[in-house]
Amino acid sequence: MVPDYDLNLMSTGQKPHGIGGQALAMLGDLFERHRPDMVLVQGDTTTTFVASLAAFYNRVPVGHVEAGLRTGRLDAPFPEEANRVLTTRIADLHFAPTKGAAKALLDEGVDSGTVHVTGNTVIDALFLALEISEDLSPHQAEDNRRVLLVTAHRRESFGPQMDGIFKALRRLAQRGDVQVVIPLHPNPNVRRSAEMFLMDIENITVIEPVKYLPFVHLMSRSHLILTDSGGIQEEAPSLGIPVLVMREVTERPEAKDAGVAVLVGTDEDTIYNEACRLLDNQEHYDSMAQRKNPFGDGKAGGRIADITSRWLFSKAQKGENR
Amino acid sequence: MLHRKKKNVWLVFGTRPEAVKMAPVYVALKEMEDVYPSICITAQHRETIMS
Repeated sequence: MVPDYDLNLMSTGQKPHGIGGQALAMLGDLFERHRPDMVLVQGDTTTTFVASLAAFYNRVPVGHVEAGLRTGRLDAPFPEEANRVLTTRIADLHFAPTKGAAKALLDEGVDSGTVHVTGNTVIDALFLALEISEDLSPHQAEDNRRVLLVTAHRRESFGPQMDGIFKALRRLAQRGDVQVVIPLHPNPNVRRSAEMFLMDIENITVIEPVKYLPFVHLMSRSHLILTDSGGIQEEAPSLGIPVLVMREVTERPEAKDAGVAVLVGTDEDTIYNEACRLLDNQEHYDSMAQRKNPFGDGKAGGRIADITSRWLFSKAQKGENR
Repeated sequence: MLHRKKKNVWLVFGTRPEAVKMAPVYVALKEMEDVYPSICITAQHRETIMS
């Protein structure tokens, strides 16, 4: 995938309103000049919302990939929940990853003819990545200690919550039978907290952020994943790896409902106890590691392409040129 | 068959997770006869994800 257009905005240290404002102006100009037939956006970032708004101002239709995720709290996660709610209001086509997400959209009054359950494209990407790439991931296991992969980077987790997470990790490492591997987010708040709790502890390996392809392989070799990331909650079930979700709320209840993830929040004891239960109770582990994925079957991309094309041509036939 | 003008679909994103989740859509759109995709990125996450 090579970009045809690159706004080259610096995101490091930028506030959402700064990057959003610049992106809105630049995307608006690009859409005006090139008149795309449709703009597809994905997820819940500032780019997602602002690109939708820029398209709307130019009367270019918008398709939203991974639509309908909700916590129901506009400020959590911040600012993602607002980004996706606002994108929904603008979009012409909504590609919901699950039935639950589609229902959330219908409950908000979105026209049912525009909502399509496609599965999540992250599953397509996962299979594609494992197929096309070699395992170059860092930290090949040197002994048979089980790898406990940890990722934590949400804005809402910064501060005291993060300390709880790191204290739990330290206790888990002290068990001696697991290797905690934690790729660390470059965010200075996260780094400061991590350095206080994790440096120089046996069985904890802090690594630099890992790119997607090596990360997929790292994930596939893990025994258990602790994360506050949404994407990983969706990917891990396809690899048969249980997930402990270190968040208080989730917009992905499907993983929990399917029994492949447990919501543990950011409390030290809860994280520690739930992780130990998975490490010590094989029956419990097997029940969570069943490789059934409520988020998709790996064919979402094809469905989205088909629906988009059909929609564009039926619109053209009707002579709707907005 | 009437000749249909190809439709240009832009995929717009800024972060690596968005790129990963858009890649399968891009691959699928590229295989279609009457649609062609373009990619527009906003931020500094431009390493090639999949070719």
